[in-house]
Amino acid sequence: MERLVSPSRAASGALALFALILFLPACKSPLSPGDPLRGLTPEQRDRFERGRPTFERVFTPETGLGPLFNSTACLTCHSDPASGGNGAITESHATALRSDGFCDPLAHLGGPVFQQQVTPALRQALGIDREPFPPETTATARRTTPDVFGFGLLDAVPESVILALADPNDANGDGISGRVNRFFDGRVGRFGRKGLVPTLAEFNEGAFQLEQGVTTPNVPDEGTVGGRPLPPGVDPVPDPELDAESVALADAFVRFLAPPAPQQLGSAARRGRAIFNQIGCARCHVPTLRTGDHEVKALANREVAAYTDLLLHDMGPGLVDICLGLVATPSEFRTEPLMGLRLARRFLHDGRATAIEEAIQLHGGEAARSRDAFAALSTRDREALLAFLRSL
Amino acid sequence: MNAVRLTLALVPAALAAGTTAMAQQPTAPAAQDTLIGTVRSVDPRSGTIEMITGVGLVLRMYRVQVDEDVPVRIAGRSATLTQLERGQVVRIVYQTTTVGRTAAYVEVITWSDS
Repeated sequence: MERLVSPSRAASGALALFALILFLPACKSPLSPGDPLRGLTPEQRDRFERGRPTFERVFTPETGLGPLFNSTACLTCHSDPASGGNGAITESHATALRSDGFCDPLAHLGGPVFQQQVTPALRQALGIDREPFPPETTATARRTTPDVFGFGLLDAVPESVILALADPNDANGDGISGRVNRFFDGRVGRFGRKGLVPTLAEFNEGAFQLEQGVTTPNVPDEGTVGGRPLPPGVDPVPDPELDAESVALADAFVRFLAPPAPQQLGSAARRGRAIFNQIGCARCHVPTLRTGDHEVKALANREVAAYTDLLLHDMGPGLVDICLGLVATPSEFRTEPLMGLRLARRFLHDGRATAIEEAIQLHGGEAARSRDAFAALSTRDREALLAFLRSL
Repeated sequence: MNAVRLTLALVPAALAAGTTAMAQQPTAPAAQDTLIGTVRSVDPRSGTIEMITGVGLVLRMYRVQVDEDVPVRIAGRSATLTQLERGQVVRIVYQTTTVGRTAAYVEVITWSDS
């Protein structure tokens, strides 16, 4: 028998369908890795798009590459799963901790970053395949490539927020200190695994010279090869090899990359989030930071689910490598932001861990109590915590 | 070694004045720049400071000549070169001449994290 539909029901159904069609465009699809921030002006969006080619540009010796370098393009390292993502390449750092406690970055000998590749011209001139560590080195370190999604928001967090989270003498007695690293001119640092670099602009511009050997207006020289001047003729391109506008556009591309949107939490992951707080992970991996006033509206006064305090913490003897800057000791590392953790393939600053669980187990020092609490969880709770972390 | 430029640390007024003056009077004093960085070493005998600063992780060491008559200040008080210590952060106003960087003023910078 045919079912009759009353006229009033039919009308309300049509209305619902109309409303659905009307409001569909307003529903925002989730951001994918590599997407720009929402809320950029057309001009900012245009700079983001125009900065991408410089970020992805492959340099050659004829266009400025080297003579020392780690990679031929930003994209070589930051490619997974999109431009700005993480990568498999690791680089080498070295410093010298002097007997009086002074941390020497070996700047006069090419440090603290020692490049892993050389151009054919430099190889021919010096017979080397990489920049050598100087004999003065007291410690070396490996560094993986993190993704840079959401770094513009980290840059927009006011210094006062970071300082407010610091507890250098553990005044509250919770076993967690949290110290601010300082750049060589005394400014508060936040970028890099030791939290050395104060601003994203400096980090980005410096990376052109460090990673690709491409000089820029604010870094107009190639430096040395392990403290020795460059042999004549190995770097024929006039400095700066990249102009200020290209540097600014590449900076805009990185700055406007959106943080990966956290995935929807299932019931286990929701419980995992509570456990994350209960066992003390959130004391250093602070779930949200708030940005301050900013000329870019999309970066201003926003909550960013960064899961970091941007401070240094003692991670124990198992992870010791180099000292860096005015504050960071060999065992101190800046809390790694966990936003985008689900995109990572390797974990910790040097990629020694291949799984999140392994990375947690390698935490020590100030994180030892949380690590032990994780180990003491039931299998069900541990899986819930991991489910939460895999959602970030 | 070429200088890593520290745009934030330039002294714009002195630079502008110096540039104008240099264009008109060849004997005018050289323009002054400012470096802010960490003292790596102090050699009172030769009157030199080695300091470290840079852009991002690009770090450079700078050698600056500090003659005896150059004002040095620590915590707002007059001091001497021998009182400078490795690891201190200093602001040095200097001129670049044919013999290198020559300091006109040295000041130790401090801050509080509390």
